[in-house]
Formats: sequence, structure tokens, C-alpha cells
Amino acid sequence: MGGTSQGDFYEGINFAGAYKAPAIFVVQNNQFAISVPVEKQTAAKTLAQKAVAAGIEGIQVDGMDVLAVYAATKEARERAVNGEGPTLIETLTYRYGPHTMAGDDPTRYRTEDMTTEWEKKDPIVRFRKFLEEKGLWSEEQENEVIEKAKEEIKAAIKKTDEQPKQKVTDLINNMYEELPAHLQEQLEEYKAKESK
Amino acid sequence: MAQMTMIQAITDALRVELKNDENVLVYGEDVGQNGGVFRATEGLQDEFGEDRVFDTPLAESGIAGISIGLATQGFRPVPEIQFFGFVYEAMDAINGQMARLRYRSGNTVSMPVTIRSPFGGGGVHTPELHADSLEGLIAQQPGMKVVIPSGPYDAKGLLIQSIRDNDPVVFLEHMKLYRSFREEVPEDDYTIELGKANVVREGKDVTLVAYGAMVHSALKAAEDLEKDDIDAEVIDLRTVMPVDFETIIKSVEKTNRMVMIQEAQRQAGIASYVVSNVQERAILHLEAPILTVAAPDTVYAFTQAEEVWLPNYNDIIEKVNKVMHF
Repeated sequence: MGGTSQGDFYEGINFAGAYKAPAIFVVQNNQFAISVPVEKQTAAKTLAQKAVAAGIEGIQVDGMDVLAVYAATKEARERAVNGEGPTLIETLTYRYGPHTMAGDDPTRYRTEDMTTEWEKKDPIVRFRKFLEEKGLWSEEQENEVIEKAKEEIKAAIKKTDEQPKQKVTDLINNMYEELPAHLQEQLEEYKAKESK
Repeated sequence: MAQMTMIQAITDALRVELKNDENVLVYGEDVGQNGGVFRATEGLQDEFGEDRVFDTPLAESGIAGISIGLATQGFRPVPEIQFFGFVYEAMDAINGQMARLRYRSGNTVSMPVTIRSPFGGGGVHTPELHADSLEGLIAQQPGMKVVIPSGPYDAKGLLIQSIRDNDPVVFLEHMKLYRSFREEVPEDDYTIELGKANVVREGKDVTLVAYGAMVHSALKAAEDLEKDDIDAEVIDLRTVMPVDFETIIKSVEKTNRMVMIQEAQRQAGIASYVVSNVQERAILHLEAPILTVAAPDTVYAFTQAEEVWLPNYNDIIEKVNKVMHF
């Protein structure tokens, strides 16, 4: 959400509009840029309306409604592939946790009540209810999916842990297609250090 | 006198200047009720109100840009760039505009802006564009001053002086130093002159020049070098633009040897600037080439390689031994 206050954001949607780019801009409006609320970011009533000045389509959707987000994105995609230009989608949503695990404390800038209100709209709960009522989903199926996801995460973490530790020589080798002489010297220097 | 961490000394300096001068304004992302991501502005909005200490939209070019307008209208802005890697967004406002207004106006417009920003690695393991040492980008722009304190006492005195300075200052706070140690810091106001280095350890055999967190690596190296009968002098630049060459030359004339230490990558940058000036002014006093300790010329390393990538104590010892036995 905070990113829409950056000048680059306006330049990006303006370029996309000018070139009728097949682009979709998704603005995840979770109400805060760390601690600063959307009302202090902009006087605009919605973020979607920023599309108007760029001359592109803009739509605000309930970001806690899976199907609404799907419908808006599908329409935007069709517009893009048909050469009708870009779309900006603002999804209204919420960040339950802190911005980072490195010291952000949401109790300094928002209330429990606010969080409770958003929890009532939780997209997973709502979509589950919807599917269950249609007879398309059950607890067993859900548990199966959860277990499978846990296994996948575990496997991914294991694979990551098995990767060799990053070395300074790797960083040096990633800097240019062909290493300039000064970096070649530094590469030798760090090779010697790393082999110790 | 009170024992303070560097972050407390910085908050204290801001409080002193907000009290002293009603034109001082403090603003940036999350600096209001949240007190800043490192709590540098903790409690200041409650004490001085939302007109003096306030949150801005998330836009660094805007934060630096409004500072220019405010400064021309008699305010003394102290904006914060949340992490110095984000300064790229504000480079036109700073180097392209703020730095040039005095010159453009024929020396009739002052630009009393102090941009505070955390930077530096090895303390907080941050993602990309948070810990980079980008002081060289600003130091290369004529019209700008760049101040980098190495501890709580200096941070308070230098920040107050920076705020009172009528030219734009980028004041860089090394994240590793924020809470790593405490120092005696006077509670009233005091200033430390900009552009003056500090001899933090006297010695006769070799001069170690450093700034920011590297001052502490240099001091540790100096202590251990004593065991090998090498008596190192350590100079803390405090201000990397302008540089106090007088203090460095005086030291080199005594020691005849020098090692330049910076956390930033080696290419271009502060170290090259200092070394070129020292050799121009003191070549006949040197018994060995001046060697440089710096990070390798890559993009800032991710956490896994950070400790190896950052210049450290061992690199300093190695370079000192080289200049001693040249």
C-alpha cells in the first residue's frame, strides 16, 4: 500500500497507460505502511482511483474475498491480452502480524478491535464456508491439503539448508559478465582467504 | 551526566534542538506515534506535537523534496530516511537540488537540512538496500556535508551541530552502534565542530584512519598490536565530508605509516579520497604505501556471507603488519 505514495508508482502506471502495456498492477491495501495508515498516505478516497489520472482502468475489490479477487484479475487479464491496456486492482485487506519480526510492535499504532473486525472477514474461513455449502470441501480434504503443504515446506527448508553457504567469491563472480581486472584480483584474494 | 546508548543520545539531541528552536521539524516514515523503526524519535511527537514531529507518506523523494521548501521558508528540517539504502529514491532531491541551492542563488539561500539515516552492516541482519554504506554517493556532491558518529557522545554533539549548520548535512547512524554500548553523555546541550577529526588513541608507529563502526575495530586492533610492540594511533574522521586532513597529516608526519579503513566497498569512495590527499601532502613523510581496508567491490552481501564480506579486525592487523614490514 505504501508503495503507491512513491513517485515511481505514478511513473509506472503512466508508462503502462501511455504504451497500452498488457500489465496488471495489484495494490495490496493492508491499511498500513508499517505504522502509517492509508489516511496519512493520501487524501484520495481509494487507491484504485489513482488509475484515473493515468488513463487506465482501476478497480477496488474486497481483498478478503477470493472469488472477487479472481473475477477482477480475470477481467484485467482479458483486457491486457486483448490489447485494451493495463488495469490497477486495489485489494482491501489486512496484515494480521507485525511488518517485520525485527522489532515491529503493531500495538503501538492499531487497536485489537481493528484486528478482530478484519479477522471476521478472513478469506480462508469465508472460502471454506462457501465450498462446504456447495458440497465441494470437507475437513478431511482440508487436513490433507494442510499436511501436504507442511511436507512441501519441510522439504523446501531441508533443500535450502543443504545448499552450500554463500561465499564472497560467489558474490564477486556474479557482478559482471566478464570480471574486470580489479575484481579478478579481489577474487584471488578471497579465494585464498576461503581456502584457509 | 547520564549513561546513554547511541540511539538514546540521538533522541536526546533531537529533543534538545526541538526545545531550543521552534523552527526545528522532525519527520519521516513511522517517526510519529511509532517513534521510528529504531525508536530514535520515541516520545517526541507526544512532547512536541504533531506539527513539529510527524509521519510522512512513504516517499523518500518527497521527504527530501519538502525539506528544500521548508528550509527556504526559515524552518530547520531534520527528516529521516528510514534506511539509507532508500536514499536512491531521493537522490535528485538531495544531490540534484538541495546541495545546489546556495550556489544557484549566488550564496543568498541557506539550506539548513539534516537528513538522519541508519546504515551499516553486521548488527541487524537486514534485507537488501538497508545496510549499504552509501556515504560516498553524497560525499561526491559538492555542497553536501556527511557526518558519521562512532558512539553516543559524538552522536549527540555532532547531531546538534549538524542541525545548527546552515548547509545540508547527511547524518549517518551505524545500526550496529545503536545499542552496542553506553557512554557518559551530558544532558544539556553541547556541540562538536563538523569537519574536525578526533584522535581517539595516540601512538607513534602507524596511523589508522577510520569512521563509524570501523573505529571500534581499529581500536581493538590497536590494543592487540601493542603486544607486538606496534604503537598505533587511531583517528576517527567523524565527518567524511569535509575531511580534516590537518589532523591526519600531523599524525602521519609523526608515524610515517598509515592504513585507511572503511566499511564501504573499495571502489571510488571516501578511502580513495583520503589516501590521495595524504600522499599529495605527505609523501616525503611516508615509509610505506598507504594501504586500505575495505569491503570487496560487490553489491552488499546477504546475511550468510556478511561477516566475511565486511572488513574486520583481522584485515586491519594484516594491513598494519604489511606497512610496518614494508
